[in-house]
Amino acid sequence: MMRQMLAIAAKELRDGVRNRWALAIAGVLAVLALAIAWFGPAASGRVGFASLGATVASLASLAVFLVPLVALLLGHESVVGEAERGTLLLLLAYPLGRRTLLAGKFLGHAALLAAATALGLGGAAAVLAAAGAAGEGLWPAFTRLILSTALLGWVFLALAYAISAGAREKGRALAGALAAWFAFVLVYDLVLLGTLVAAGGRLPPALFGALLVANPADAFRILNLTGLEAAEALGGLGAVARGPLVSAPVLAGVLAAWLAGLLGVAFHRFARREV
Amino acid sequence: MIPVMEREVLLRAEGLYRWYGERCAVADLSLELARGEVLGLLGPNGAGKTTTLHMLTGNLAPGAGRVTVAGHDLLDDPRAAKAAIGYLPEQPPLYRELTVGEYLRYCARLNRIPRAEVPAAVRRAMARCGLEGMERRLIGNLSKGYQQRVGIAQAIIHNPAVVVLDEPTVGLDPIQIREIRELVRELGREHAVILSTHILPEVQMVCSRVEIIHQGRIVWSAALDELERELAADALVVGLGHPPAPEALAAVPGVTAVEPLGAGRFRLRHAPGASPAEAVAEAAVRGGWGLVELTPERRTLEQVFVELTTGEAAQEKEAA
Repeated sequence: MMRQMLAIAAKELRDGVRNRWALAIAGVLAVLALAIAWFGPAASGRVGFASLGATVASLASLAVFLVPLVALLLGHESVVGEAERGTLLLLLAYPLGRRTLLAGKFLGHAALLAAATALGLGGAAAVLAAAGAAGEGLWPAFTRLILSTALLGWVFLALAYAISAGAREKGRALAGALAAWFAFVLVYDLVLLGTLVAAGGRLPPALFGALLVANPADAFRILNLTGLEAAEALGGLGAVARGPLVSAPVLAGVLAAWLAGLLGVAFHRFARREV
Repeated sequence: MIPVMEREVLLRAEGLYRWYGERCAVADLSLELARGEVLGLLGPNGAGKTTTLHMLTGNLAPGAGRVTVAGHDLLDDPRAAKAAIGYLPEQPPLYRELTVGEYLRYCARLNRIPRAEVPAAVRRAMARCGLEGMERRLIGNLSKGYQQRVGIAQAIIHNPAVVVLDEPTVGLDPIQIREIRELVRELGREHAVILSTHILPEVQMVCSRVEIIHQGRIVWSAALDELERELAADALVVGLGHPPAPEALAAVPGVTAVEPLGAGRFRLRHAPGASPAEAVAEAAVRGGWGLVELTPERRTLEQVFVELTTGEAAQEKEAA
């Protein structure tokens, strides 16, 4: 079973490398990371590396938009795409469990996403280190950023699998994936802010913090702000990041819980799917 | 056909049913397939062939009934049962971006062939399907015929007991069709093969047994030699320049009935396997009837198929 799962994962990984998905993601992340590092302070009238805190905070804000979108696009065809081209019918006729098939595909895509993230952000960190632009804190901060970005990517990859496992057509899966991206990355914060304003700012801080952390995108953002001086400059979100609710393990736990829950939904939907 | 005592039954389906909502797609379907047999599964569109194949390959759970493959129950022990099946769906679903070698190695690993044995299994499957020298070719760049061969190669790479082929010659040119039919015949020597097809002559050329499925039920089942007997001539069509009275034709030894067809033509019925052609020719010469046509009239599989799936026979079976 493990060998079959690894064979499927290796195929997905090879496909991603061959069709240049991984390279494109890594390239975009690296270029944007370097651009943010150097041109981030341009609004204040100067160009060049400002501070590690500001760079990591900006990169977290970039990743929270880009990585979920990439993960959703990468995973939305995982099941429905195989079904549409008929290969699912054949795969399920092999001596292969449905869980093994889905786990293998997820493993391959997750490895692809993690490798692209490590290559993109790690490459940018290497350039910054080589230019002597940041001090000793560079690698720990970037390591945390890379790991949490990969985790964020996996959460949204699992969401894409859950959508794909229940979809009848690729078009519907894509629409679902984009709607999910809007909901988690854009709309959730807007609704939360609106609620806070409507309540006249009287929402208990603990409840507001919990609601904020419940969204994996916000949990990721806060995870990367905790411990940064720059967090103070980010207003409400920075205040939450420095609050008692949000230790790094709790935030990582929230992301892990989302990952486990969404994978559970994906497996359940795939198990019930008729070929 | 292999004598009954020597038959090694590899696939057995018993009392399969499948409903889609209120509609019964397959009803009380049973069949048996032994090593060395090629079973032709015939039926009009919507007859339940694809549903049946999906149930036999473990892609669809039957509403009732059971399927055993090489002694393994498909529901109780699906992995062992599926390991004994090779399946080629209609329109072979291949990964066009992979090379033939990459694809077959992938299929070999999914079929749990030990890593060390994969290269040999790939070579063997490629050789059997006439794919030598194509290992590095992209599947997407192959002709339809060769893509079909790749599809068959993945179906036999793990040397399964049972091979299920769904419309393997659809969309191929005549030369490719001949090659694929020869390949299916060759597979039938070692495996038990199910061939689902719409092409009736293909069944007579390739299969050792025929089952016709209509409205979810098997309405006709026969070995090819039985089929040949069933289709044997039981009438002669004669054309005469100076036709006598029908009574004179009926008096020819061996003729059991006479049907006038007009313009000097008659259908002369006789007992199966006892053609009175020689006696009719002699009588025509003696009587000066001006014999211009003497043709044995054979039923075709197409006639049987149409009768069973559209005529009274089908209604009788349904009523039963």
